[in-house]
Formats: sequence, C-alpha cells, structure tokens
Amino acid sequence: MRKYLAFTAKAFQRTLTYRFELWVELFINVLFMLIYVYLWKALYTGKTTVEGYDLTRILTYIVVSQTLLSFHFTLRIARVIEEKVRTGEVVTDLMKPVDFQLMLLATGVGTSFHTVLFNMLPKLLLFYGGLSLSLPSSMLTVGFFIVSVMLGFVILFSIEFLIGILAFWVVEIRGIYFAVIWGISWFFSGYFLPLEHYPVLLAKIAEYLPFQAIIYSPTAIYVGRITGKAVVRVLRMQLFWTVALIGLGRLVYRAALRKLVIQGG
Amino acid sequence: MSNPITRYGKLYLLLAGAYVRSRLQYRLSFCLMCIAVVTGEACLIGLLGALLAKFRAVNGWTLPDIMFLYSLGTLAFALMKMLGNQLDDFDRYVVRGDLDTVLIKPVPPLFYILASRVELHHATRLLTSIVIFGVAFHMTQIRLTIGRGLFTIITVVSGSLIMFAFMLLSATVALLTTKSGKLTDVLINASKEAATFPISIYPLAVRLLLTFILPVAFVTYYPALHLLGKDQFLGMPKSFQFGAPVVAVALLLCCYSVWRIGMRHYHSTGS
Repeated sequence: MRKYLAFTAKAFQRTLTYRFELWVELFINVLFMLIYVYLWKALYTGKTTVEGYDLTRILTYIVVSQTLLSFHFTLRIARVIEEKVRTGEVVTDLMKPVDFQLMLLATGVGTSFHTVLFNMLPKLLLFYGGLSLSLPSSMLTVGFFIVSVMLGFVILFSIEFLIGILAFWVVEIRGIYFAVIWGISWFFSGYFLPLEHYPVLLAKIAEYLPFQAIIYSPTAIYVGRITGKAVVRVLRMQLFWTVALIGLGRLVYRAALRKLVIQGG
Repeated sequence: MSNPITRYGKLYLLLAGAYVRSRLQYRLSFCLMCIAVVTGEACLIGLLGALLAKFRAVNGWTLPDIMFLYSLGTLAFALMKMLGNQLDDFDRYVVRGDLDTVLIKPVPPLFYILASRVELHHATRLLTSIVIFGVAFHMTQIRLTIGRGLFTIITVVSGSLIMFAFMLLSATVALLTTKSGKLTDVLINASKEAATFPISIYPLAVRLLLTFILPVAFVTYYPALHLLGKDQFLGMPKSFQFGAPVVAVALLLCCYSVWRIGMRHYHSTGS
C-alpha cells in the first residue's frame, strides 16, 4: 500500500508544476458550463417540471455532471499506456515490483486528486455563488454521493485501462479512444442531459452499460433524483461494474503480456 | 515552373500526399479514427435530437433548425481542420525547435506548415457534416435554389476562414510565448460549441462577444437566419446575415499581420 501511495503523491506533485495550463483549463470548463446553463434556462422558459426536474434541479444536475466530467480530461490512462508501449517505457514499469494496473490507478488518483482540489471544487463554488442551486438533502446523501463518485471514477479508469491495453496489439489507439471515451461514453454517461430525458429505448440501453455509472448515477444521487432504496441498488450496480471491469482488465492485460514485443526504443 | 500558383499547388500535393501516405500505413488505425469521427458526430446529433424531442424548441428553434445551425458550424470546422489542422499543436513546433527546420526551407513558412501533416480523417468529418446538413436542409423544407446553394458554400468557406484566423492567432501566441496549449481550445472549441445554439439564448454581453470579438456568430447564426428566413437579429443590423465573407477576410488579414509580426520577433528556443 505504501508504495502505491508514493505513486499517488508523485503524480500529484507532477501535476502541480503545470499551473498555467490548469488555470486555462478551468477557464474553458467554466465557459462550456455557462453555455449549457444558458441553454437549459432557455429550454425551461414556460415550463416548470420536466421528467421530475425543475429548473433548480436541472441546473444543479448540469453543474455537478459537468464538474464530474473533468475526470475524463484528467485521467487519460489509455493515452498514458499507449505512450508507454510506443516508447518502450513499459519495460521499466514491468520490472518494477508493483502491479501494473494498481500502479496506474494510484497515479490516476494522484492526478485526479489535484483536479478535485484545484479545478472541480472551485468550479462548484463558483456556480453555487452565481446561480441558485440546490444542496443534497442530508449528510447521508453526501456520503452516498462521494462513494458513488469514487466507484464511477474507478469504472472510468477500468474502461480507459482496457482501451490502453489494446496498444499492445495495435500501434495507435487514438481512434478507439476517441470513439469510446468521447463518443459512446459521453453519449451514455448522461453528462449533457439526464438519462430520464432520453428516448425510452436509449435509456434502456444506457441502463445495461457501465457508462451511466460514471456521471449519471452520482449526479442523480446528488440532486435527489435517486433516493431511498434505489440508492443502494445503484451503488450495488456500480460495485458490480467496478469489480467486473477491473477483473476484465487484468485478464486482458495478462494476455497482452504474452503478446508484448519491445521495439528497442 | 514559371507560374507560382501551379508550382505551389504541385508542392502542396506532394507534401500533403507524402504525409497522408505515411499515415495510411497504419490502415486499421486510420479506419478507427474515421469511425471515431462519425461516432462522435452521430452521438452529438443523437443528444441534440433527444433534447429537442422533449423540449420541442429553444427560443423558437426546432430540431431541424438546430441541426442546420450545428452543421454549418461543423462544415466550417471540418474544412478548417483539413486545411489548417497543422497549427493545432503549433506550440510543439516551437518548443521542439521544429520551426527552425521549417524556416530554412525555400518556401514561405506558413505554406510549408500547412502543406505538411494534412490529416485525411477530417474528410470523414466533412462528409458527415454534409450528410447532417443535407438532412437538416430537407427537414426544414427550404427550397434549394442556386442562390441558396452559393450562399451556403460562401458561408461555409467564410466560416472556416474565421476559425482558421483563430488558429493563426493562437499559433502566434505560441510563437512568442512558446506555449499556447489550450488557447486553441478556448478560441475554437468553446466558441464553436457556443455557436451550436442560437445566440439568442445568451445575455447581451455574450452575444456582443460572439459577434464582435470572437465572431463565430457569423459562422452559424447570422447566415442561418438568412437561409431559414428567421427575423431574430436582436437589435443587430439585418445586413449581418450577409456579413460572413467580410468578417472572414477582415479577421484573416488582421490575424495574418499579427502572425507576420510574430514571425519577425521569433527567437528559437534552442532545444
């Protein structure tokens, strides 16, 4: 455990050096969030409640989901693995007496922790200051939300890990990465609008995919759209995906090791 | 060899062709990239469709209208990406010192940069946007006339020039400060996203910004008003519907002179 914490700490420190970039990124995020806030305000003129979301709840949903989306920008584990395979750096990783998957997770946690502190929390505070948003109904909800966010984070990590491992077979994974993470995952994660607003069939498909567990589930818990026993059910679903995808990642990784050819730099 | 236009034309094809051929060596990767582009676009249209199926309209703009607006933006974006994508990570040119090798070539630097690294998969984006545009055009039931066709082509070309000008501007910043990093994201991606929706949803300050400072409203909104026959100028002159080419040329000239100044003040990083 200690050695993995070291990876986390190093990743955190490394991110600290790119301060200018981070300010610019925060600025862009806020711009995008503003666009969506205005869009939803315009959509709700003359309407009060749609699919159980009134204006306050939908704006809270958008702000929280857009905030959680930042993990997508930060993590980029797939690209990290691709880079490691291409440069041959993966050899030194394999020599280290640590588990490859856990090492990457620890690194990802480090980078993301930085994002939480210096990007996500400031964004939330900013929008809570500027708009009338709702707070979670109780401390228990906050607790469930945090657990749900963490599970969603690990699920995103596992999906990225799986894509990254493909780099052992194909030289360039940019295409797959974009298609899955910026296409399918965005579509089914509910970052742009809550899944309740999807056509019935699409919402049904989303239910059977792991992507909704990344953004929709924690956000819906936060805004109180999922409550009571349903929360436990959602958390159990998230736990299932976490275990399944981490396990799948390990299997594919083991197959990849047999396939590994080092180009020699 | 006498005519410079044919000479540069040939040279462009030669340089672009070499890079495209090298990229096509990774055929699977290229195909996946194309699929990715189409998937991404399809997902976005799907989201917009889902949204407007529920809410019917935003400020009087229905799904076909929004798709129309969106496709004008992506058409311009795709065209710009095909021709000027090389400026996207220009800061790397500067940081790695690659720019120095460009400067010693016997052609204008900007020409060389644009001719190298032409990414063919953006053609897929162009094709997808043409399809979306076609569907939207059909759904809005506008009659296709030669005049409207020409207007659309001029609009898209002007739009891509406006976005290219932003690209040039952020490349100039990279030239002088060695990092533009995410400035391109602000100028291109955020402004393109903002122009996906009718600007009437924004408060006055944002509308002024998108009209006069980052004039993406001329890429989508104002020309769309003309084609869709809408009268939502929100206090702006009606002539703005024909303003795109003027804005494009003016902005491009501005940004190009800034680029020239930047090149004159360029110092190699020495790495």
